[in-house]
Parts: sequence; structure tokens; C-alpha cells
Amino acid sequence: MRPELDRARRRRVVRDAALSWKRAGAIDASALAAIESRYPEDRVRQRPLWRVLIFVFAYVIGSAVGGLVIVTIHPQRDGAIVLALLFGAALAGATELAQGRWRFDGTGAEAATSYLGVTSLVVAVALLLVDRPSSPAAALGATLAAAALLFGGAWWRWGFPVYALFASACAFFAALDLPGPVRIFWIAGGIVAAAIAAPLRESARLSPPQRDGCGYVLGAALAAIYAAVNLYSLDHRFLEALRPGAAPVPVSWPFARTLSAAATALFPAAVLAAGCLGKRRLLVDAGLAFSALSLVTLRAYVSIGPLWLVLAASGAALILAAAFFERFLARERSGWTAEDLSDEDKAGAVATTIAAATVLSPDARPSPGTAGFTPGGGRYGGGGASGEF
Amino acid sequence: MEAIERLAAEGVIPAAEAPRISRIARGDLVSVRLEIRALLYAGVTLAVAGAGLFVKEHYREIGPVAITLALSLAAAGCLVFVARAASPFSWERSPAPRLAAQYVLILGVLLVGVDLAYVEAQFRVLGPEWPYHLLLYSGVALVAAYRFDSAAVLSIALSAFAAWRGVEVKNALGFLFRNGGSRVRMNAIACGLLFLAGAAASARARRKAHFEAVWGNLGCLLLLGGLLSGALGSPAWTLWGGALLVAGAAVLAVAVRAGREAYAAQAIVAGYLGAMRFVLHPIRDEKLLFLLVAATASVTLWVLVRLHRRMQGRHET
Repeated sequence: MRPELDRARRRRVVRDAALSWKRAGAIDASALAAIESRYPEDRVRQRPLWRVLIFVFAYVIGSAVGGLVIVTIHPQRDGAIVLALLFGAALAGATELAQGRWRFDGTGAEAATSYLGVTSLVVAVALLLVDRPSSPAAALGATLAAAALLFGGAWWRWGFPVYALFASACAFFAALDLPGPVRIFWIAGGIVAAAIAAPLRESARLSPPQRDGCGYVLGAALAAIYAAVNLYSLDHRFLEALRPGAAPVPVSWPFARTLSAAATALFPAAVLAAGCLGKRRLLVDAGLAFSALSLVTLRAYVSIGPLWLVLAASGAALILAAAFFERFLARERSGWTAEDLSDEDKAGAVATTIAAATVLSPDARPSPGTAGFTPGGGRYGGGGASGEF
Repeated sequence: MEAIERLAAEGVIPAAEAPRISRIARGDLVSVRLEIRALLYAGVTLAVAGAGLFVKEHYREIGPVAITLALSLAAAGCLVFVARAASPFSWERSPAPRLAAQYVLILGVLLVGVDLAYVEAQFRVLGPEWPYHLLLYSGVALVAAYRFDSAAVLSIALSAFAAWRGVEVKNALGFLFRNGGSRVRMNAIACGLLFLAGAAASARARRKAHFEAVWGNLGCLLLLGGLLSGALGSPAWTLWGGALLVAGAAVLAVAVRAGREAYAAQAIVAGYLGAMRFVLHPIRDEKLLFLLVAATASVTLWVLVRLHRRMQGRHET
């Protein structure tokens, strides 16, 4: 990453933190102004909504220019490879220019050029490999491996943390193409990736987006391990079925199911415990998500009760647990608190409002003439809460 | 951490706050507020899904009266819990109650919705006018939203109102394109205009002025979505397209003046798509098509950047 971009990102972390301190009442407006003058913004930046719009329109422009060149030249495969390479290189150059001379950082435009650039290079690799190796699966695996490298490089160089997630996902799916036990690859790869990413997430030597990206790598690694050890996934050979062109083989190791069942129960608990003991929110969140999935897995094998009762009881249990923790953590307990420390609560409230207007909103009545409605039946709810009678 | 130590040493951060801020930066003090929100949301969704499924599976065995009573009691219990925790009514923003109370309110309102729908389906109180139960539900939710100062419940109230008029907010654009007959489209536009009027009234009268965003964003979505479905899917698309451009320009002008980015974004996207309908309609040549798409997107991008600067300038001055 460019040193000036690294410095700008580190300054931004301080400014963003200062803004949350101000909102929490820890500092006053003059202190905030003093911090902002000591750690000034020297990059061109847009607000989040504008950034998304600029990304979309820049992406449309880039794609339309690419489409125009293709319909004008009508290249054969080799020509298309050269074109994709040139296009990718040009967009990578544009990203360098935007982040360098133009000092763009968070406008949306440089994100669009970088994303289009990387995907063009991935397309070039895919075109290069298609039809050439004996197995189309090998071409897919090699393309995914190339995508992992390209997205990883783009993350490290340009500082888009989400590319770390793309790179991790591509790397794990590329491993599906390797001969041998895919679950072992995912577990081993997940452990290695987590072992590397976890300490790097905390390293002050890395730039903030590189640290954030390490968080994505860690999350992807844990998800890969869980997907590999989950009993339902093992029984249904989910990972094996993803292998292109290969029929899933049955489980050969006799203790595999027992180990998998134990891991389905223990892995979420271990991740959650590690998060609680180490005060790592990412691990707590991952542990909670895996716990929920393990409970769903349990329900698939053990009849706990009728579905309505399971849903209603688990809903009530979640509400009661959350209410308990909110009250319990109203004041700090062992470094945990329910207080809003980083101004995230506003985003959470907005997300709830959007969810209420969309997921939880009622279905519309059928318009006259479009459906043969007769009273006596209706639909209500949403977000899994839909039903009819 | 270095920055905090430096700022504390220079006296920029008050000495009393420095240790706490340092602990947050070091990760020694961690907030789980967002996780508590997520648990509450998941709990509400699961509980309502369970209630819905219960009604569906057991309405014959248990009987409609018992089910109605059970749902009513559950909803009333939620609302009583919320009422006991609520601060006195005010037209200003009320102090935020505990998160649990906010989500139990949502649960209570959703259970009222299930109950009303069930009562209407079983007892046919309104007969052929059955959709009016959605209007009643919307009214109940609106009262609860204003009494307990809940933007989430207000959005449920407004989407229930739109549902009464046959418009689905949960996937407004998909719904409008799927069922975009003139009646549904007109209803969407009328709801949009009504909600925008609600936004203006909230802001001007300073009655729960912070609800303006909920009224306004749903209003923009339905108004512009309705016009867009006409511009892209109606035989009389030129009229709808023209109306879309006019409405988009009006929304954009108001949004720029009031500094409302979300309204401006919706107006720009809808206006762009409407304009593309006019620009691309006569084009049959692929090259020209790509060229025009690139050119119009470039112009829009330029407008976008200029508008953003202008809105930022207005805000800062």
C-alpha cells in the first residue's frame, strides 16, 4: 500500500474514533476540532450513499466501454484474452492514478475501477485456461486460484478489505479442485489461515484496511472449518457435491460421523468461548452464528417438538437472553458493556427500520381482477414469519 | 494507541476520559450492543413465525376463539410491558427506552397484525371489505409508533397502509413490475405522495420531526417506483417517463435544498433509468447503444459529483 494512503487511513481511524468520543460525550466540540486539525483528511472522499452511487455509475461506464470495444472488434478467443488483459491493466492503472495523483480514497470511483480491473484479469485467466487443460474442473480451480491471488493482491495494494473476503472465498473453493479429501483441506486451510490472520488483525504495523481484511480472512476461515465439520454438511456431502464433474463419494472413515457430531456441538462453543475470554467481537459473532446453525442441525436430527413450538420458544428465549444481557451489561462487566461505544447503534436502528418496512411488512391485498380472492384465507407476516390460513 | 497517548499528554483529551478511551482502543472494553440488537431481531422474527405456524396448524383443533384470545393476550402482554417502560408522550424525540422494550413493541405490533388477520379470516367481520383490516392494523401501528416513538413501528404502519391499497413495500419495485396494472401503479403513486406530504408535515410542524426520514423515504420509493414501472412497462411509457423526469427533478431539488441525501439518490437513480428509456428506445445499433450508455452514465456521474459538492457546501455554510 502507498505510504501516503496508509498514513491517511491511520489518521482517519483517529478522526472517526474522535467523532464517536464526541457523540458519547467523552470530549467536547473544541477537542474534536483540535483532533481533526492534528489528523486532517487529505484525500478526496464522499459520503457512503454517494460512494455507492458513484461506484455503480463508474461500473456502468467501465462495463459499457468494455462492451463497446468487444462489439466493435469482435475478437476471437486469443484476441479476447489480450483485450481482457489490456482492459484489466488499464483499469489497474486508473486505480493507481486515482489513489495516487488524484488522492481518491472513498469516492467509489477507484473501487469500481479496481473491481472491474481485477475481474477483467480473472476473465483473461479463465479464457486462457478454458478448453486447454484436459479437465474443465482444473480450469475452474486454476481460475479461482488466480482470482484469489488477484483479489488478495488488490486488497493489500489498494486497501479494500472486502477483497480479502473474496480472495479467501476463491481460495477455499479453488481447494475443491485438489485431489483428495476436500474437508481435510478446508479444515487445515482454515486453521492455517486463522492462525495467520488472527495475530495480523491486531498488528499495528499493518494499515487499518489490511487489518480489517485480516478480520474477513479470519471469518472466512472459521466459516470454512465449520462448513467442513458440520454433521449435516457431512451427511449430505455438500462440499463434495460442489466439486465440478465428480460424483460425491460416501464417508469411508468409521469415526467421521461421531467426530463431526462432536465438532458440530463443540466448535461453536469453542469459538464463542475464545471470543468471550479474549474480548474479540468477531469471534463472539461467529460463535453465535455457528451456535444457531448447530441448533438448526440438531433440529434436523432430533425431534425436539413441533416446529411452531421450537420457533416460538427459541424466539422467546432469544428475547429473554438479550434482555438479560442488556440489563446485566448496563454497567461494565469484565470489559463487556451494552453501552454504545462506537456510534454503531444508529446504524443498527436504521437497519431495524428498513427490516420492519420490508421483511416484517404485511403482504399486499390482491388487486381486483388479478386474483380470485375469496374471504376465509389470508397471509400475514414476513421474514420467515409468513403464513396462511 | 500512540495517538491517544499523545492527545492525552497534550491535554486535548480530558484526563478523566483518557483511561476509558485507551481501554476502548486497546480492546479492553468492548460493546455488544449490536449483538443484543441482532438477538432481539432474530427473537422477534422467530416468535412471530412460530405464532403464525401455530395458528396455521392448530386453528381447527383449538378453535378460533381460543386462538384469538391467545394472540390478543400475547400482544397485550407485549404492549403493557412496553407501556410500563415508556417515558411520557412527547412530540419531540423521546429518550430511547431499553432495546428489549423497542423490540418487544415490534413483536406486540406484529402479533396484533397476525391477530387482526386471523379474526378477519375466521369471523369475516368486514365481509367483502376484508382489506380494511389492513387499514385498521396500519392505524393501530401508527398510534403505537407515535406513542412509543418507534421509527420501526412507523415503517410497519406505512407499509400496512400501502398493503391496504394493494402495494407491497417489501419488494416495491419487483411487485410493481409484476403487478403493475394501472390501478396498483396509481395506488403506489398516491401512497407515495401521501407519505411525502406526511414527511413535509412532520418536518414543518415539528411533530416527531425525526420521523420525516421514514415517511419521506417510503414516499420517494413508492412515488418514483410507481412512475418508473409505468415508464418501463406501460404502453403509454412516454407519458409515464415524462412524469418520472418531472417528479425526479422535483424530488432532487427539494432534496438538495433540504440536504436529504437518500431522497436525492433515489431521484437520481429513477431519473437516470427514466432518461435511459427515452435515449435508448430508438437505438437498434449495438455500438451506439454501448456508447450512449457510457455517455449518459458519465453525465450522471458528473451531475452526481457536482450535486454532492453543492449539498456539502450548503451543509457546511
